[in-house]
Amino acid sequence: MPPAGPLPPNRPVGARRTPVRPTGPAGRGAPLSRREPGTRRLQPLGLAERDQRNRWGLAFLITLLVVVVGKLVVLQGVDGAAYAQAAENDRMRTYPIEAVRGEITDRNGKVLAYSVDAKRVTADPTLVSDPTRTALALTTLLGVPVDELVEKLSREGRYVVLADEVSTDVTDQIRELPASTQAGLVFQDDPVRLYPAGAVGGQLVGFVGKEGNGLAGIEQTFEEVLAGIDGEERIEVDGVGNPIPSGIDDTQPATDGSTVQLTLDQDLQFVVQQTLDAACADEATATASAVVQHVQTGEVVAMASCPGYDPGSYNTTDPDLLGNPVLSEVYEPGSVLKAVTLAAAIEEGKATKDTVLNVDGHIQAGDVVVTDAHDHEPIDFTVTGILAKSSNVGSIMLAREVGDSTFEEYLRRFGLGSTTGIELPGESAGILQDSADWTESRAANVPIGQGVSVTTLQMASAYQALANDGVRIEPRVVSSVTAADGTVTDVPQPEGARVVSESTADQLTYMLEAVVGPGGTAPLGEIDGFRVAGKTGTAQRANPETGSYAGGGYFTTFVGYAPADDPQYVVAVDLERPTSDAEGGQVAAPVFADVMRYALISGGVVPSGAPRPDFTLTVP
Amino acid sequence: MTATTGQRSSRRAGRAEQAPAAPRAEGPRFRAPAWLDGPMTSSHLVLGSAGMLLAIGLVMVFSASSIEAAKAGQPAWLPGVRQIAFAVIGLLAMLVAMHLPVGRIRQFSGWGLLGVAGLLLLVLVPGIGLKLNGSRAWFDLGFTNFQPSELGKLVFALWGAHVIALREKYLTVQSLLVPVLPVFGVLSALLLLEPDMGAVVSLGLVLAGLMWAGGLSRRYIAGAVALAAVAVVLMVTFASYRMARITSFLDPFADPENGGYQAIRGLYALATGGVWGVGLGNSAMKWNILPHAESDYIFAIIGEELGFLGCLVVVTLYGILAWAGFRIARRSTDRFVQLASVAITVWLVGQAVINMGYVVGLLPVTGVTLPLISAGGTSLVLTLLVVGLLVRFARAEPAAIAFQRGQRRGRLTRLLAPVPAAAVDPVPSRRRRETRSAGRAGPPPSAPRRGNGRTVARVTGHPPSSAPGRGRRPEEPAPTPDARRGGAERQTVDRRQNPGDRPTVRSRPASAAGPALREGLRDRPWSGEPPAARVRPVQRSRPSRTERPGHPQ
Repeated sequence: MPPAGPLPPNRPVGARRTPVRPTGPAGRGAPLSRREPGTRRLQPLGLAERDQRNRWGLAFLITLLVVVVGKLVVLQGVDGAAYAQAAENDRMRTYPIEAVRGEITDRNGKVLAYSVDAKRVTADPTLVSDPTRTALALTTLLGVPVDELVEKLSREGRYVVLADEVSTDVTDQIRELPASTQAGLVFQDDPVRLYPAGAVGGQLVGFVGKEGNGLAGIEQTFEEVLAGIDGEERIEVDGVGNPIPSGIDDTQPATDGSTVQLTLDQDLQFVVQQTLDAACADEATATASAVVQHVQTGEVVAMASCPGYDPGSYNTTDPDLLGNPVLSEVYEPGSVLKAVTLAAAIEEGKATKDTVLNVDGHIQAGDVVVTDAHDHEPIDFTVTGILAKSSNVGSIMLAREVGDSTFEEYLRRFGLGSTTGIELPGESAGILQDSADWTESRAANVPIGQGVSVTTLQMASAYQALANDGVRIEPRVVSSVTAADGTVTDVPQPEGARVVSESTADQLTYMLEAVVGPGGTAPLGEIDGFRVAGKTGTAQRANPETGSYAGGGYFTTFVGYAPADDPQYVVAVDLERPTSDAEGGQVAAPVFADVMRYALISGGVVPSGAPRPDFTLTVP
Repeated sequence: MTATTGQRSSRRAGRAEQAPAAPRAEGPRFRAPAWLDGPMTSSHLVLGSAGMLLAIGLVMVFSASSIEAAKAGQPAWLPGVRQIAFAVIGLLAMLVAMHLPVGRIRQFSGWGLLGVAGLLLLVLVPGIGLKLNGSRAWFDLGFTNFQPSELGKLVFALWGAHVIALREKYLTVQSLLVPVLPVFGVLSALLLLEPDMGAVVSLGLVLAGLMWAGGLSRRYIAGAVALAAVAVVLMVTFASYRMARITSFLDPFADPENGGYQAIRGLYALATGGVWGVGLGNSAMKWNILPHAESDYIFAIIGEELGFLGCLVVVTLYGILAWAGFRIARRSTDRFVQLASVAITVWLVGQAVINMGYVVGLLPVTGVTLPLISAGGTSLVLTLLVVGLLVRFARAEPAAIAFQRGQRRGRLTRLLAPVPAAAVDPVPSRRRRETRSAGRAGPPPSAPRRGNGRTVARVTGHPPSSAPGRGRRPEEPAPTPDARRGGAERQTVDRRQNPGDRPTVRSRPASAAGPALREGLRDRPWSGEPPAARVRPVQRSRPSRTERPGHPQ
């Protein structure tokens, strides 16, 4: 075994060389020589020593590698799940997905309100490299002055809004800018609500506020349906926030809002508003309202008042105008209520259309004396005549026959004093006192439409009952809701409630036709080819400055339906004329006629076949 | 009986003989199985592990860099293809290194050191050096950036091994430390001026390898470790950015946005990978989340995409590289090769350990890259060059030379797998220089024979010419473990050598290269060609084993 042999004598070998050493480092020989020979000498590395060092060196390196592996086991096996979860959370970003707000359409599907995709252009100023250059690039695209943009882009903080409701065309152009120019810009969803019909149906449709929630009209009452359910984009993003294509995607899609279809007819609505606007253009008329209701279903086909507003520019409109006066403003209906009074009398069997009453020109009612429009000697009026000539005294006489409480019951059955339940916010119930609280003068005033307040819609609804053979159906304005997935849900229509018998309703229709006929108060309400039933009203308007009727002017109203032989539409019109004493037959009836004419023609209603009968108004 | 089987049987006999002696040796002893203990094992393992690491590196650099490149508006394949291009250059460099004569390397290592020092000085000049990531450590070569510190580590390793090998026989603590340690100090100072702490650490690894293999006693090593610790503490206290690195390493989650950002993302990437990984190309962290994902932190991406198993493969490959490196040191007869291969191995594997160590959160983050894997042009080329040197050393193991001489060798084989001329290469320049100086200064007549360098100057009294006499002494230790094996495997050339390198005559094979070779070499002092081939041209194409001298027939 030669290799093993030489190992023990290592030292002797070193010792053997000792005499050689001092001659080595010649210049440094002196200090070295003082030392014990061999003390500074390294042990020459013998074979075994080298082997050993190689082994230990290798073992050391391997140990280090094993330590690394050990730490890897901890990281990737033992603690792996927690770190991996933290890593995932670190990469996950959540972005809201705004649900697209549903549309509002008219009965034919014409769009009254819809939303379009638009962006809010915001910026993170810390990421904007050159505010001036970015501002110059954006100023024309966004329509914001350069100075303002530079100031915003130079701000402290990490979020500034540069522009709202920027169309996607513009954001596409911004995205095509050089990367350095658009660095730091962020686009957020900021959908725009558009109202293509403008002011047409505006009061009914309502509008959407800055935060995207409905603040008026259908936009408000159907907020939840229209808004849909916002989604949430949960994605894994890279270092600069872009999604990683192969990454996690826990996105919860948004459920878009449903489409709300109204019973409104946009064309008729347009005509109604045109007509009302024309009426309002007359200096005497402050406001005007009109409702068109379908007789058989109670659906509101048009509803407007002037002045109206355009929901698209609600924020520049006088806030006082942002309501729907048709159902929120009340007025004293005046003579139009006499139809209800007479219907009660006939239904109670106190009279028929041909009953003759001796009607004086005035009547004592408590502490006041109520006169007809023009005081007159006693005349023998038929009941038809009382309505056609709008005799206050005759109406009061019949109401007294019915009795206060019964009469009040009839008023309430016709919908007075309670809301109709239409799907619109801000509806007023009107004012109708309990009959028990009526004074004698009040008891005499109510039958002729004073001392009681109604909305235009309530008045239309009352006449709808007469037109519909005595069955009143509460007005509704929404026909169906179509979900984003196409499911159509019909909005349940209210059950009709019989108010008066069919015969009473027929007699009332006959009598109301006389109003428009010769000798009636509203010949201007006539429509060629159609027999019209209706009633004028001229109610004193309480002067808001004095709180009394003096100087308050009049509410002139006309409510009617046509064709009288087969009623299809009810139209209620009222004009607030604070400075005029014109009567309903003169100012409201023409408006009624214009609206009704268009409704009948556009609705394809067959003209009346039979001519209007001859009416006996007075008995000589 | 062919020569090969003869070798094998003799080796087997040698092992059988050795077996009872094994318990006497100290330290851990892991004997490789027989199939892993062939003459070419070292070279195959170095080539295999380095090649697989390179392949993994190319794939992972491609994977880790493509997204960021695409996001930056470049072609997604650009960094990957660049890396492949550098790998091709590196493979060429590796081939060149395999052909490099060790003697020439040693001859020019001193000049190389001067050159590198010059480059390190030059890179500090603001107009010339390129400043990236806060340190002026690069030259802009136009197509890529060149980091002279990479070259510095290599040259320092070779030069250090050369110097220590020169003094081997007469090594004192002083002569072991004096030229190497001051040079290390100077280079470190230059590197710190850049500042490039990572390069200093790598250079320290080279130094550690040299000192360990050179035989610095454990007391000194312990002292040096203590000193290094103090130095680290001092440096950390005086440079705030290093302090931040240290604190962020101890608790990266204390400052998740700045100091600990990268470390946390590295841990996240590894944890996301788990055992099996998320699959090649599926990393989420490479999407601009983990900074330097394709260079410093590529190990995290490997861990994320290939999981613990992928990491284990990489770590194992480094382990194999380490084992092969030390195997070369153990089996080689040339002291320079022993020292250089240990230094290189410690440097490469140590750098890998440091890189993986900071990625997994065991060490503070330094800019040390993962050798052979991280993206980086000149660093990859130089690393492959170093691997080529290791292969060159491996192929110069005496057993390997003997084995290769027994192989049929075509033209291509000679190009791709050159056989080193000798297990122990002389340093040719010394004699020439010696001769020149002799002409000028009138040296003593014995000078040419006595050889060369400072070490020899110290031992003029020692009669090297009496080498044959030394060889007779039975107590002379054999310079390599191969002495324990059959004499037929020892392949050395009897040429003028540094005394420290020269194996004893006794351990020299009686007829390895033969007297004929000696004659041939006398005429031409140096040539890259295998001497045996030149002497007998017929062997170039069809070596006749029976005619080869020194083999038992």
